[in-house]
Amino acid sequence: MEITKLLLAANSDYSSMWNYRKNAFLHLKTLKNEDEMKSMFDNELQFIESCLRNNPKSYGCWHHRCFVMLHMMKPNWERELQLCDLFLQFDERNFHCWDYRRFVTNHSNVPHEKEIEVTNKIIASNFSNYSSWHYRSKLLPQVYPDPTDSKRIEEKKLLEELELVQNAFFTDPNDQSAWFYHRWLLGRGDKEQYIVSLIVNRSPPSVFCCLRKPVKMFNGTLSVDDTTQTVDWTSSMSERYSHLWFCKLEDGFKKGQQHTVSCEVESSKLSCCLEENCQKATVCLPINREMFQDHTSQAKLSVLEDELNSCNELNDLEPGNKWVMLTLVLLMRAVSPKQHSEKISTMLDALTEIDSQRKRYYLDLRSKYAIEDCIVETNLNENRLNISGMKLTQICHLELVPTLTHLNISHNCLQNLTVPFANLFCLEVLEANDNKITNISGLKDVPNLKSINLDSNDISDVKQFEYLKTCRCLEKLSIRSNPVCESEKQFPTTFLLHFQ
Amino acid sequence: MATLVKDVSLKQEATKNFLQQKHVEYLSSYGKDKNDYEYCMTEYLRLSGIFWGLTALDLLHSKNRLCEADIVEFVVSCQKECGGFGPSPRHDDSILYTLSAIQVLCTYDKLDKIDVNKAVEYIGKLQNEDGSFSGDKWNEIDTRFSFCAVASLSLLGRLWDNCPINHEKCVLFILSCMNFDGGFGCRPCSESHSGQIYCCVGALAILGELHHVDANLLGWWLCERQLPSGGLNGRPEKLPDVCYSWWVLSTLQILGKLNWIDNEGLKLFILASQDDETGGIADRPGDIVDPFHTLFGIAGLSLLGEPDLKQVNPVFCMSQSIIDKLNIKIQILPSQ
Ligand SMILES: [Zn+2]
Repeated sequence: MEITKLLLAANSDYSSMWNYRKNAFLHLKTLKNEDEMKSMFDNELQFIESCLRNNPKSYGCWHHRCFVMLHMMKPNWERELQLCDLFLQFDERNFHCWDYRRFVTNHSNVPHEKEIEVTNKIIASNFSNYSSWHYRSKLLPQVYPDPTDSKRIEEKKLLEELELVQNAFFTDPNDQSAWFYHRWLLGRGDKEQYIVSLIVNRSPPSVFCCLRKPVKMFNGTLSVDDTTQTVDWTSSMSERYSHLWFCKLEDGFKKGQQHTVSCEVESSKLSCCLEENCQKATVCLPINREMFQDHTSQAKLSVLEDELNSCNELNDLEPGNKWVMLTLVLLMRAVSPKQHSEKISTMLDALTEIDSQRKRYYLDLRSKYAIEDCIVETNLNENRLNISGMKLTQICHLELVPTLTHLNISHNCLQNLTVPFANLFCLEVLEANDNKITNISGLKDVPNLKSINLDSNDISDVKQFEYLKTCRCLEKLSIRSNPVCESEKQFPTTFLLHFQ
Repeated sequence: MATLVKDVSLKQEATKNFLQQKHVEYLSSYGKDKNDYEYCMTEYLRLSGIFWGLTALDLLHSKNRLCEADIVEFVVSCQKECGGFGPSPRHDDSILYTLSAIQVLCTYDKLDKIDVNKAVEYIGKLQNEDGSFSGDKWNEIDTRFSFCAVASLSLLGRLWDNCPINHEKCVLFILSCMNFDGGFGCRPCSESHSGQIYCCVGALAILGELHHVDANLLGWWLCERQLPSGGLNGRPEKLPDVCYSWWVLSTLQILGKLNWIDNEGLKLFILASQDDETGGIADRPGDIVDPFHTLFGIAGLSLLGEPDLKQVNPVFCMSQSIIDKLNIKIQILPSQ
């Protein structure tokens, strides 16, 4: 025991030595009486404390302390809380100590309210303390849960929190802890599942169902003319999780008759009418703003407006602060994207300059907003989407538009088509000319794709076209003005014969 | 009460070249003197030390600088009766060293030298009812151990066929450690930390469950780790460090967001952390080098496209060619 003590005093990460001591204690417990054990355990706690003073971030030390506390007959939890206070005073970000603190409070049933008080105190002495804000994000939803989402906070408490965090960033607008916390307060939990579209085929009688969120197994209720059907849904994608599900209908549809097909999952329902003289019918859920927005209630909207006003105030006081500017962008986007669209765009442009290390983050954010605006303004039942000429650096939300037959992404700043297009299983025409595309691996297995325009891009590797072999319906591919065309010798003629 | 940004500044004269040959010399001579004080004091993590040195040399196309037979013999001697591995024969087993042992043996294609079934059984027994993993029989719980379990089973080819662990519970436990910033901590309620985030996101990538991660939110937190010096820190308000740079960078790569940080700036930070006399890479410019930071510096440079290095796999931190040979497919979100 003494030797292990010496070794551990020199190096507290020596886990085999801690294990040796644990074994010894388990053995001693069978030999010694309670008083003897108590004094041995107390000595051990003192020894651990001295090791922690040398190495407050030793996993082995903190774990050994848990072991000792769990094996003591009458552990003094109060003393442990004081120890935590002491170590946190020394380093308020020591996550080992915070974790040990939570171990202690759990075992001694310290009420969450009391722990919230502790974070109040720490934050009052120094706003810039990420660990405390983090702890609040865990404690508050337990004490003041939002009735609709147990991971979030009820409205009244939320307002108080917003005031507190506002004090923090008005005191120091460069304190990122407060800004991260602020973004969480204004966000909302998981987006709910819903059916994005249905596609019904008369013959062979079958249904495709597209979901907002990918799932491993789908058991949506399918009914034809209000009669529930027994169906086996299978994923039509190779990935384990899929947005796109397919089923055959055993009874089929009657020839020349009109049918209504409905699908239901969780609280989402979508119905599609197959007209009497039609072979196929599709229906899309109209995509509205709310689906892209981070707030749910009207009440929260007024909170957001207040937030927007105070951030504008701060922006006047501290022009050019990136945290203030990004928050303004998020708030304007949440309150009224249309009204603020110009200002959002200018601010994102400015952010790419001010915070150039993260330039691409802002460009991707702007691309996302542009695509969302376009989707909202497009009548998706026409199955066409034009998002050309918008300086896009990324493509997103393809899972929301599965019934598109025409997609125009030309004249943007895209470098890679790597997102899977296979979800777009109705897509026939893709216009992707005039970008900076080098990689087209996302164009695998697009079952109905007939025509692709890739003119004026940066494709230099002939192997890229291998991906297109899996698009069975492809008839036309245009690749004028790509580097690959200049080195014609290495360009296999089989491709040229096949492609125009 | 304005916060001062904790950072370092790179010296004008700092190295901007990658000192490939120097690193090979540094790594291949490290530990040659077995009486060296530092060497003795690191016995408690010897096996991981071997993994760091070997993998770094492998990425440098110089695996042959170490004696394969000696290393394989040593690794084999670290396997315990229970199936797990200790950091060296005299030390206790832990899932941490079990992963290192398996990584080293995969690098040499010598898994047949150990009792794989026993190792698999050992890992299976460490899973708890709630899906979490203990590091050893003493029941310390940490998402690092979830990563070790999933990565080890994957390398052993036993994650999908004949797998001893419950995937669903494993995922649920990892998700219970997710935080308000989209990151992950050691245990439920623990603060986000980029080492821990790497472990959780890595495990989800191996299991094909990345859609649970909010890539936009977490990606933002991760790219905010980059400081004006170009180096990355592991949590807000901390100093930049080469090892954290790897954990943040590899996670960004898994999430398809590598371009959300300034790659050139990070490259200069890692290059400036090289010791241009002895070779090797330190935690930050001017500090003393060690094999741990040398590996993560080299792995980071490989992700950033350094042409003199083999391509590294962002989840396993091993050459991509090894992962391909084992036919392991993991989920990586597309980078646009
Ligand atoms: Zn480090």
